[in-house]
Amino acid sequence: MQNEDLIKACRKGERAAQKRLYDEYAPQMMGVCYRYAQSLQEAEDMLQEAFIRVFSNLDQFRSEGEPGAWIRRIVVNCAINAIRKRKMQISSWDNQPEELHPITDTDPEIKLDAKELAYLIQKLPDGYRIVFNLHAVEGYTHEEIGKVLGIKPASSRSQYLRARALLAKQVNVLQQKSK
Amino acid sequence: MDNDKFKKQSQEILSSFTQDPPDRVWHAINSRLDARKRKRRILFWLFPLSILAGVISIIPEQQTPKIKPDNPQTHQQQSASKANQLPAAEIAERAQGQQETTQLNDVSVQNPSNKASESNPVKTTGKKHKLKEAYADELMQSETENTANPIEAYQSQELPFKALSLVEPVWQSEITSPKPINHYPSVNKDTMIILTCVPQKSKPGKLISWHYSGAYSFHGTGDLEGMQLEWGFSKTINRYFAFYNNVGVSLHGGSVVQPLNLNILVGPSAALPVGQGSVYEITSAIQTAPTLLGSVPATPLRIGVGGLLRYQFYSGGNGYSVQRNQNMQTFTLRDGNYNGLSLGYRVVVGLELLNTKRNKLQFQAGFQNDTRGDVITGLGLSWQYTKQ
Repeated sequence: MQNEDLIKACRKGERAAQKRLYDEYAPQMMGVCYRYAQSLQEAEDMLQEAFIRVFSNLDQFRSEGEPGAWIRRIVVNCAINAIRKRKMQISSWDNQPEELHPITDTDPEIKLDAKELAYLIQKLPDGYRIVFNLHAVEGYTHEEIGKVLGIKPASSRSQYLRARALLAKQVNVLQQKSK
Repeated sequence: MDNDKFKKQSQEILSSFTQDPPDRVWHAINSRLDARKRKRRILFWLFPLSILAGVISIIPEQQTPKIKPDNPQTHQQQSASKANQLPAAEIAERAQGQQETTQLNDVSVQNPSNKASESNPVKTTGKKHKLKEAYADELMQSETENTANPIEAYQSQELPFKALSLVEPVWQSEITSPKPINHYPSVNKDTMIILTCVPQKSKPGKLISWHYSGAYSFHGTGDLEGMQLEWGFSKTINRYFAFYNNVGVSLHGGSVVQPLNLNILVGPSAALPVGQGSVYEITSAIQTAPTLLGSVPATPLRIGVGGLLRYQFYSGGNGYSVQRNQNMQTFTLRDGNYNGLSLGYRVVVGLELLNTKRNKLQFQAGFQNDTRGDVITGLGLSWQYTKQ
């Protein structure tokens, strides 16, 4: 079944087609959720919510587009909404002490596999993790991140630099251990 | 390693990252999709049912033929002829007085203003009933000849059974069908009911009220704000419930485009300047929400639940909405059906601030959701004027 036919069948509410679409994209999207979530359980919740929204809004999807990019966007939205629901004080990121995780320019070359890197990203503090994911992986600018999260672009920038510094440190530690 | 390299390296490594979700995630999605299907089915039926209930509540009550008041002369003639028809044995029996009391086992309901009930007594059980019927006829005869109290008239004759006079307002349609004897719980089988019917033009308690409401409200997740105005009328069903038919308009506006809050990434492309990153949208709508209103006894709380039929207009016209593109520098005009009809439900909770004979003022909070996924929440005031 072509993507177009699959989407049409999903729109009609055919459960077998919906399962097929889920099977095709769920592993990739679970990887996205895993990076944003604090735990595996939270990642599963995000994925569940995202696919409910995918199936509910399929009539707004134009068949000539690529479903993967569309689904990924929904997944990222759901991840951000889930983080907001946790009532995380995003505005408090603006006033974090610099000495907590000093910004450094020395970054190691990453010789880790995807799972190890995703694990390290997941273990970053909330603010660092979200800004790092949005900026480094999804490609948002700091201005856009500021608007989405309701923080100043400068805060997003400093969050990202600290996240990168902390991540680099942890990458180093892990790479040294594996030697 | 510079910043760009670190980003690129991270992106490359993570692009291949996948993780198989456990089966329970699909099971949960499956059951939630089923639940949504059921909810949609309920919503589908809720609106026509509430419309039907509304129509039933506003249809005028069925008119019954007017009953001509009894001609006393005719009535007397009828009573006399009935009395004349009494067999001698029964007249003798009548003289036996109290001895018969315990043997009487029936009750007759007499309606002086209604001939129909004469031909349709509640029960007839042989001789004993005829005896009582004769008494009743005599009573009515004496009632038309002089204005003596029927109870006293019975007592003076040392009746072989108790007599109870009830004056009950009845609606016209009820006159033709006497109420069953168990309608009068304090009456036992040895009691004769002298039921005096007072015809009423309309059932008491069926009042019509006019409602005028206004609310400050939010559309969607709160990014559009505006107001709702509503006008309608309600008709009481009983002491606690009323049915409310209405028509309302709403107007909401606001900046809605935030890069991550829209899901759609398709449609004919049109490069728009990023500008401040948001676009002003306006929605306006006309709607009707037939609602069952209920009051919580002994509290000022009022609750209303009902269906919703809404036609909404969108400032982008029918077919276009904006969506930020993946490159974050342009927007896409997305295709869709934004002007349209939808079905839904509405819940209203009110707190009565003022309650006089004719006027009521309520502070109200409302929530509505429809098949287009539009959620509107609002806070406002509702004034209710009751025609007495």
